[in-house]
Amino acid sequence: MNRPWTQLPERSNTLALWLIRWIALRLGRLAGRALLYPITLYFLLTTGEARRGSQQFLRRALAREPNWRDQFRHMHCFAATILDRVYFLTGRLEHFAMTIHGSQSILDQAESGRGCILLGSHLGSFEALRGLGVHQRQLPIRMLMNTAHNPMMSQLLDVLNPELAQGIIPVGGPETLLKVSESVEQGCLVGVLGDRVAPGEKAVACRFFGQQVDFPTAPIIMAALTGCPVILCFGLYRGGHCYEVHFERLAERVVLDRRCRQEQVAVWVQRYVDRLEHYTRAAPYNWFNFYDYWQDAPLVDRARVKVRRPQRFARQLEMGWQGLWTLLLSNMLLLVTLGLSGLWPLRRVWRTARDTPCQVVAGDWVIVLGMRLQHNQVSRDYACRLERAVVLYRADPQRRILLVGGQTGCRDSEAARGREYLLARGLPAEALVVEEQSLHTLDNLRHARQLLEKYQTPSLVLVTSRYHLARSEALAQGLGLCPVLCAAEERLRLDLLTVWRLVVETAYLHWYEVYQRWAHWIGHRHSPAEIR
Amino acid sequence: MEALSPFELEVARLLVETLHLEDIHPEHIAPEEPLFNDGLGLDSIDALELALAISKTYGFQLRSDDQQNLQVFASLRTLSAHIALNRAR
Repeated sequence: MNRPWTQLPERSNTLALWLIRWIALRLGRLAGRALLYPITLYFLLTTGEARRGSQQFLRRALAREPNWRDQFRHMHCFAATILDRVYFLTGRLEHFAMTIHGSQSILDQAESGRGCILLGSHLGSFEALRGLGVHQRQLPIRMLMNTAHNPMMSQLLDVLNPELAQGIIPVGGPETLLKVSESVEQGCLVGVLGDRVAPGEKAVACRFFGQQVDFPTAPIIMAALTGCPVILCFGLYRGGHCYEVHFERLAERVVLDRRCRQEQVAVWVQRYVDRLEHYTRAAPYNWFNFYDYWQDAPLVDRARVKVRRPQRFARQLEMGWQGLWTLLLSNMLLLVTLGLSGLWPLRRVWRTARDTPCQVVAGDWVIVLGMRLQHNQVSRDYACRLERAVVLYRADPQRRILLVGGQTGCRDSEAARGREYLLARGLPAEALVVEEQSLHTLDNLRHARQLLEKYQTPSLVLVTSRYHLARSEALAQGLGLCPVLCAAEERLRLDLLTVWRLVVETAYLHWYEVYQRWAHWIGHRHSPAEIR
Repeated sequence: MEALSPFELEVARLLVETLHLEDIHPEHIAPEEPLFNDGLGLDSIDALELALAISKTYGFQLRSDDQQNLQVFASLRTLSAHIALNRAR
């Protein structure tokens, strides 16, 4: 790298978006669908919060303990609708068999020239409806969308269908609802999803699957203020190439009395929620709210989860998208070469794990990569990394130790628990620096880079478990950092768990290599910034 | 606290009445305080209700494509000034 690492730009989303379009439209739906299986497996293995959300929901919907097959099916259904979204947004409906129920109500509405509120949800695919609207029946649909919380989706839309993107009404600012009201006056059908409450949004508790959950009141109040009808719509995915779109008229007009407005709004929202429950029971695998929807988490954790939920969710979704489409290519290569392309990264992971020393002489900064806590406690492997930091510090007390690792599913951050551990081992507080934002290895390194920016060319030592070394090194190099590696364990011990971890690391590294070459090939010469 | 002009007080009354802000006295609204997010904590639904009430009372429409909207809705003072400038009755 010739340029100093602080000046390297971060890569944008363009590449991933381009990939999505390319795979879906060039390789075709069949190839895309074949790749959904490894992708679903990847999701299932790596997104803990989403998996727990799925589990909590399925437990309610199926009225039994869900097994891994149920969860696989759930995530697969989600991944399938994401793929199909590309076709819907580009108006390629010829791939699909669509059954439409209650279409008369929506056609009548469009013909009358009066607008309405089209109230949907994250059950199934609202995109199916949008595809239908724009390309088949010329329904003037405009979407109310939180573009700030969903940058990836809005960018995808921009790429696939700029015309449709124009029709989005972004949430935020006093004029949002004025825009809705004007659109309704012009005869537009304004789509809004009514099953997630944004932070600071007004909500009312409704009964959903036998328990009270908050739902936003805005859609109903919007209808009351603009005096227009409310039509419910659900686009359910029925497997294969079948979609089922349901329209139902919820209200011809919502009239609210000033004195008991709150109660009346609650009644209307409950009617929507009842229909939502009905359709959710009819197609449970279409439920795409992969988070703690009923707030089953213990009260202590809830306060934190609640504050962080929207950001976390948006972020997860974005990671998911990035992951999805970059992983595709890696998987394809492995399939085509019958796994041979994995040999090289396997060799690198293995050699680095075996040969890296655990004694290091030079280096002013010791970066200790965090690791997921177990029951809010430092795990065995993480303790090993921290012990190595203790040894390094004692060898040269001028060194400072940077602990990186945010909150990954537990109450405390990885770095905070690591710091406590080191303090208990007698290291002085002034030698320790913590970074608590990052959620995965690449993030760890990126934040470390940011924190160390102010020091003139610091010399770095990177401490992590042996199996994790090769990937960390590759990612660090991609970010322009050139650390000296230091293994946490004295030597590599091969048990079953370590072998499995080496294999997983190989898959990660393969993915990373593929992505880097690909990026290089099509002219994005900067290192990928989105792979975990 | 800074005193409200008579017209600002009138708009403040309309605001409190329209949005059912029962725990707020119109005289106590600080004229320069932000209406949205911080300050009074109004949201875009309140903005729509307010716009409807303004159109009924003063006979002119607030439009969403108005570039000045953010400024108009910034505080009671800016809102009152905008109404005074555009009112039809």
